[in-house]
Amino acid sequence: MIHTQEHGNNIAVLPPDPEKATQEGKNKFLGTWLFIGGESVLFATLFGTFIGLRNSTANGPTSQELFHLELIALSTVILLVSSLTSVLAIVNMKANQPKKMFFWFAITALLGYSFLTIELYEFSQYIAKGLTMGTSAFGSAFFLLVGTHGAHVAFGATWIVCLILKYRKIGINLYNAPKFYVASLYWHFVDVVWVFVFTVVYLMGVL
Amino acid sequence: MDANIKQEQEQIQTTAAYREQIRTKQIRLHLISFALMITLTGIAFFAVGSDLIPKAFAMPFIVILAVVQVIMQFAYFMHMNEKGHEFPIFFIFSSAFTVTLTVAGCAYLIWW
Repeated sequence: MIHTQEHGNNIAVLPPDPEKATQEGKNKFLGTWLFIGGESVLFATLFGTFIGLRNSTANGPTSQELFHLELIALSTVILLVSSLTSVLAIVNMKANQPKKMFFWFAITALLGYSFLTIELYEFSQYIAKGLTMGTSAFGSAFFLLVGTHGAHVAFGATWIVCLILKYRKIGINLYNAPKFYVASLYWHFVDVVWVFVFTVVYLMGVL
Repeated sequence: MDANIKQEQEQIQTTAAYREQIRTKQIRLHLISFALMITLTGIAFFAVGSDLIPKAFAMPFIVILAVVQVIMQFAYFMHMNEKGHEFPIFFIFSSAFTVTLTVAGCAYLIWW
């Protein structure tokens, strides 16, 4: 049993890689990477479909008419910064500094929700301009791909909030360290997908 | 007894200082990779937004920038450059292979 709260010097209590110190942690680590590999293929099907259908606008609004790069640049920066803050949380987890870790995780979740707010605003703008899932094949593929990514952002941010709420008074131990680590891995993956979304959907959409 | 405790505390201090050193070093490395990633993103947005670069060149160019950025994200932010990542590397390489085939296959079938 690890008593992080009672020990005078927390840092010496946890091993250098607390997320992989137990068999359960190792399993979670491996399982998450396998899951990320599988998720990539899910997104690959959506990307492939979108690339095939991006010009099938059926006289509806086209991507050139709809997309504004300023807003996309803003949400890209927000998501990239949130990726940095979640890695800072993990660096502090490994140094057994729970306060700093929870602080950076809270910032990460906050940035995630701001990203979602911008995305919902953007979707509402497109719908107002006449692009819905039913307008054209481009509309269906666009909302399906970007919406699936948005759902992942919502899930990841809520996951991190749940971890903060559950463990903020307990701190870091060998049981919950893998949970923080795995949530952070998932969050980075969400950012990885976004890199391809802004490149393939938005930047290529205005070219 | 006192000597033992003193030695133990010294050891803890050394470990603590060492961990703190690692923490500072890692934060610096992550900040550098973040700066590089945001630069890559900036170049991609500039390449498309500024109209300075011809369209035929811009498309493969921004895809390459995205791939480089994603590799950095995997290697540094997701710690794949650290020890003990043989299986993740295997998973990600096989999924990159499958992803390439899937994207090419879906896109080609729909166009055709």
